[in-house]
Amino acid sequence: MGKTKNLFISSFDMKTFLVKIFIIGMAYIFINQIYLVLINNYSWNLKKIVEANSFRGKSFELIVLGNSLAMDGIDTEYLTRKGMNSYNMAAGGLNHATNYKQLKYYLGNNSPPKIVILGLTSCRKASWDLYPDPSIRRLVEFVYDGTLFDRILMPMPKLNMEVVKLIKYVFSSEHRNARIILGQLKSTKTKADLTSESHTKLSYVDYNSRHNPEYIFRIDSLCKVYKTKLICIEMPGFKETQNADPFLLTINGMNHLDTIDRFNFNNSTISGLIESEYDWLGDGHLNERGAQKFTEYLYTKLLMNY
Amino acid sequence: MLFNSIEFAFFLPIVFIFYWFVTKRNLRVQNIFLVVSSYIFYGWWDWRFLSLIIFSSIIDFIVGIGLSKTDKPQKRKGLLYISIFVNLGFLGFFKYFNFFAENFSQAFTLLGNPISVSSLNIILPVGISFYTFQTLSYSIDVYKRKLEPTKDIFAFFAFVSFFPQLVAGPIERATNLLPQFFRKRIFEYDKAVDGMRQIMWGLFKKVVIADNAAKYANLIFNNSDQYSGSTLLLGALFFTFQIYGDFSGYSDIAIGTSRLFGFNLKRNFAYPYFSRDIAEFWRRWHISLSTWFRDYLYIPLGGS
Repeated sequence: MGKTKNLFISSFDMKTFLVKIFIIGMAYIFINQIYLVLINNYSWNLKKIVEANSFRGKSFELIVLGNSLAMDGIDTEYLTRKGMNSYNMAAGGLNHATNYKQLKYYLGNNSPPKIVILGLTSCRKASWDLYPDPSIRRLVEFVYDGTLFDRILMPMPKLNMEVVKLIKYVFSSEHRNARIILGQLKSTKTKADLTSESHTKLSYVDYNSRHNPEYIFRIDSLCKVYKTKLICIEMPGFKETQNADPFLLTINGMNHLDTIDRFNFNNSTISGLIESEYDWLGDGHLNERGAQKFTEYLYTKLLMNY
Repeated sequence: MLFNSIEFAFFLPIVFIFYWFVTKRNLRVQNIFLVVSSYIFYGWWDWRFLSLIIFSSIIDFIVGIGLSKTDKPQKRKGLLYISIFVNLGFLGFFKYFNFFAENFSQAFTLLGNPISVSSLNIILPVGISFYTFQTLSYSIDVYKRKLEPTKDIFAFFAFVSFFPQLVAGPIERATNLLPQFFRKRIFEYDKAVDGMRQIMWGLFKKVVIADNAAKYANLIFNNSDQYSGSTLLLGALFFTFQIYGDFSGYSDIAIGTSRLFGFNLKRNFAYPYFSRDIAEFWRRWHISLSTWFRDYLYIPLGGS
């Protein structure tokens, strides 16, 4: 500090400081870009959200929205083989507000589909992404609205949860072998459903506390503008989340949703279809085999009639 | 403008470069530049509320000058009351009008005489408590002759609106911060590096700890009826980390940013969760606020 005496700025000190800040800044940007490249290649969520965002002029007949249950559980390849050109836009942790944003963007850039399926999670399932949260999930916000500045400086702060996908990819061969086909995550991983059936009849499905009916309504309104049919389905889940409710789903207190077709695929009949030992990949998510069975059932029971 | 925003990531380097390179060798120009920068920082959120901070600053500056020109106790007391009335008036109105209106209404309803008190749609100006307490400390210290009143309006305005600690503290005493606006500021490498480290640490506390803890705390508290007691306890634990990470993270960024500009702010958190009892906790949590109340309220009212 001796040579800085009586000077406002020591040019030597300031230069050293600025050079160090510059190096640290560059290192930070470099690490963020490496991270972005890694998750771009190894995070299914990011990969498929980027893919869905890039669609222009597509003419899918059926689009699937929802969270990881729908991403894993609805086999769009099977539906496409059956003549319904389909794409699964659902991704892990997405809420209805985010589903709405995805759909709005898709409809703005592509031909409207004939059907939109919105996969709902059982209201009995406790999960961090299941509460009436109107905020857009970071991953979708990053891909859809991210500025150049975000892409350069913010991958790690904004997409920190994707590091879990990288860890899974490194340590689990089942995750490495999983594939994304037409947006569906196909995994051969098997984890038996060891939970017990409750099959308690709910007089209604209380989606108010677990979902965001306002955004289901907005998705429906958007579909109506584009003359697209919205079908809400409660996705199958582990036995502990299954119900004894009728096939036609009732959503408590949301009368304006009465005009939306909504069906319960998580009642006792589903346990006759899904084999608890072989058809799950874990925590209520269907594996490739389970998803094909379920989609076949969904197609014959419901989609064929539309 | 938030510390963890993109705007601030641009704002800080620009202000830093201008402060040290463009305004160099002129203390007054540096102070004027700090006032302008602080007003941009504050006005970024809502420029209309700049009028409040400017008005408070003018009142306290005039009160300070007034106090220096008179020795008459009555007149001095009157001037101090003007400062207290104006500052606490703004604070009370913006912060507590609706609170009192609603509570009076509820109290009268409970007593069987329902009254209709209309609450106003008042937006709370960001940081109003912080700059109010800070500027009040100046008037009170000048009144108590602990501090010579300043005649340099730009130094005073810079003291009231100093952007690093404007919106979330620490609440600086005039006796500590104001004299720093009259000293030549020399860029010190070690101090700047130390400041950068503290900014990084504060950002880590805010972005990594607080924001992630908030996600789980919100999930649990938003669905409190669906979780067991142990999960609710876990939610409380997450909230404990969230509130500490948020608040002390902001204080760290404020202290670190000030160091980049050659200023020293007081420490605001001293590992409060390692306190042995509640009394010690309050001595180590938001230190600048608790000591403010101790020195300007508790002791004058007879405490020791």
